[in-house]
Amino acid sequence: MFLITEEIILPNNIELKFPSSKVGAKSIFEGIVRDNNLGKSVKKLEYQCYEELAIKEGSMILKEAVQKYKIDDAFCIHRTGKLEIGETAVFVRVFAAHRDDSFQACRYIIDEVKKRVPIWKKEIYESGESDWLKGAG
Amino acid sequence: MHQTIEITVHYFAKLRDLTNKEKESIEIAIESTPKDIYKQLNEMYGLPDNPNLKIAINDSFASWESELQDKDKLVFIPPVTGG
Repeated sequence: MFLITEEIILPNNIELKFPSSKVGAKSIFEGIVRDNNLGKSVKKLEYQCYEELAIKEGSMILKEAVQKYKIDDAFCIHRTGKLEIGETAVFVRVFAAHRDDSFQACRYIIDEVKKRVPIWKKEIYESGESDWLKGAG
Repeated sequence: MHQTIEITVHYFAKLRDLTNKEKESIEIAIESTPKDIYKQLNEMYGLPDNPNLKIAINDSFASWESELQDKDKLVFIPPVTGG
C-alpha cells in the first residue's frame, strides 16, 4: 500500500506486525528532515505532491518490488505540507522470508520513489530564503 | 473561425511559484499538443526556456506530442525531489 499524508507520520502507529509465520525479516527505511543541506542551515521543509499520479506511481513501485524480490508485503507512506526538523518525511516497510530480499526491496522502493514519484521539496533556510531543490531527473 | 477546446493546466513547485496559480482553464486550438501549450505559457509567465519536464494528461504520463482533447487535465512535471 502506498499512501500520501499531510498528518505527522508516527512510525509506532504503523502496522508492523508480521503478516504470517513464514516471515523472517522486516526492513524499515525512514527519511527524516535534517537541519542542513549543501552548507545551508535548513529551518523547515515543504513538500508539494501531485497526489493522483503519486499514488499511481508509488503503487506501481511497490508492485514491482513484490515481483522483483521474494517479499511478502511492502508499504510506503510519504508526507506532504510543511515539515519541521526531525519529522519523518517518508517511511518504507518490507516483510520477507529472508534478509537479502527484505533489504534489497526496501532499498529499491526508496530509490525509485525518489526518482519517479511526483513530489517536490522546498527548503526554507534560517536566512529567510527558500528554494525548490533541483532533481536529478 | 478556428475551433477551440478547453483544458485545465495544473502547476507544481517552481512552475506554481512562477505562475502564482495552482491551476487554470485555458482555451486552446484543436489539435494542440503540450509542446504548443508550453510555448504559450512560456510567453505569458516566463517559464524556463529549456525545461526538463515530463508530461501527464488525465493523471497518466504522456508525450509532448500528444494531441489534447476537450476537458483534458494537463500537468507539466518538474524533476521530482521527494524522499
